[in-house]
Amino acid sequence: MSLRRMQSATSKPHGDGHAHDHHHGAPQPLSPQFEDIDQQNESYIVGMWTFLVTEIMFFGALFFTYSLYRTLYFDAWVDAHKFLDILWGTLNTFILLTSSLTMVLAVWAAQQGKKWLMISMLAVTILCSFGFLGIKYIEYSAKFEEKLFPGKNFDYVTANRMYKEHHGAGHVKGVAESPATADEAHGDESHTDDSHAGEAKAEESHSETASHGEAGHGDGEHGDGGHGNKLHGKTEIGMLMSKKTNFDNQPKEGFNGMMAEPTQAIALANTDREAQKEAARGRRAQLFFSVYFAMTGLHGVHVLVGILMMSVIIWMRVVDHIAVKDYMPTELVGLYWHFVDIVWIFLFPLMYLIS
Amino acid sequence: MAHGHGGFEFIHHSDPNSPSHIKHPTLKEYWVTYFALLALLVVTVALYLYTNFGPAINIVMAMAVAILKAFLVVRNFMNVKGGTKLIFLWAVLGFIWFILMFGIFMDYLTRQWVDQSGWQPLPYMLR
Repeated sequence: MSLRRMQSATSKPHGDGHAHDHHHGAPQPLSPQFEDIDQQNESYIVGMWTFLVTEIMFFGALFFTYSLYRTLYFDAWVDAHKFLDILWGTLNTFILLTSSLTMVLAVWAAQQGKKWLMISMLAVTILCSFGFLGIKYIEYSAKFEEKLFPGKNFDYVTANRMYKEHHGAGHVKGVAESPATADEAHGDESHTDDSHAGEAKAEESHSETASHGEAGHGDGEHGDGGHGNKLHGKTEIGMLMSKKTNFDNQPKEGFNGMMAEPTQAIALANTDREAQKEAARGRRAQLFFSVYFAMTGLHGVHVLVGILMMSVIIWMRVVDHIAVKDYMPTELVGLYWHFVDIVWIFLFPLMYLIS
Repeated sequence: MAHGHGGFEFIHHSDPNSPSHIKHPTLKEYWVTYFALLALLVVTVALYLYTNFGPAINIVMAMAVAILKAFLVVRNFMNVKGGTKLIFLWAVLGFIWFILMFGIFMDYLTRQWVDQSGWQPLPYMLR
């Protein structure tokens, strides 16, 4: 027995089992590699924090990405965040904060050795997590329905129209009447391919629309009048070629066309400039939703992992596994859970409260 | 004070004089923290809904509230307050690293994006 162990053994001449420190009601198994139980507890917690440091860096990169694009495309960020429902966001924050409280209560109960209180508190925490994920499911479904999930189906014009139908015009703070909604009859240019070729296509189809006097181009975003879906096929390339637009003289456009706002309008009519601007708007909004889904998705995965860990703890406690007679596993899962909470504390104002 | 069980000794209480002794918050502290967090949630939503000081001030205020909330969670719920100096060091370390990373990559804002081939239509495609 080491010196520290002997000292702590002699300094606390209590009997076996009935001595209840008011902090530590539950006995803790001491592993042989540690000097005393305090050192063991400290090591466990430092170990968990080491993991959490890596998690901070993990999420940190995404937070940096968010800040970068928010700074570059602030208007698009303000415009796109109107699709997120602040009510759901607030409710989710409330649920997560509550789950953090029930988690510390579970840790407290574990420290006191109150087995069933701890189990029920963890169960409430799990319930809160499912509530959180349920709301996230509702929100995600709405985004899918509004065609706001990044990818080939992303359609900002449709999304704006649906938003206008559901909410009326411009009553969300910080969001002006969006130019896209005024022009929503042309659904086609909103198909924001990642390549410039796609963009050029969109412009051309737009100018084609303009030259036809907009006849037969209703608000159907896919069935573009008589052309049908062939617009995306060879027909359009043919039109594109016949136009002989001098694209070489166009200014260099920025990162993946994201900065595309033509400074010269050599071969482009005014409507094409508008179309280009709108396509750029769509791409930037898509960038917002890419960041949104990446960050909230990763956070959601962490919630799922938290549910898994809490379930394991509950199960082990129910069968009286020796490892969870110690309160430490609960404490460590608690640390993890509070970290997930902190991530959401920052995600909520950054995603829902942009103004 | 300790008895064997499956190769472990069971310790019934820790030594408050140990340098690595961890103190635990009371139930009352937990509840106070919780209601403070809820109040801050109301504050941040109210700031968004009823005030507008321009983009720069808005984000600073929102982040100030968020940092305060995170601070409360780290200090009271994650019990860095009752923890040892080593735990405090570890807890602060991650956030300092994050701030460092943020500062280092700030220059991304000043960088020019370089177009890569494939991102734009090549001339022969358009002629």
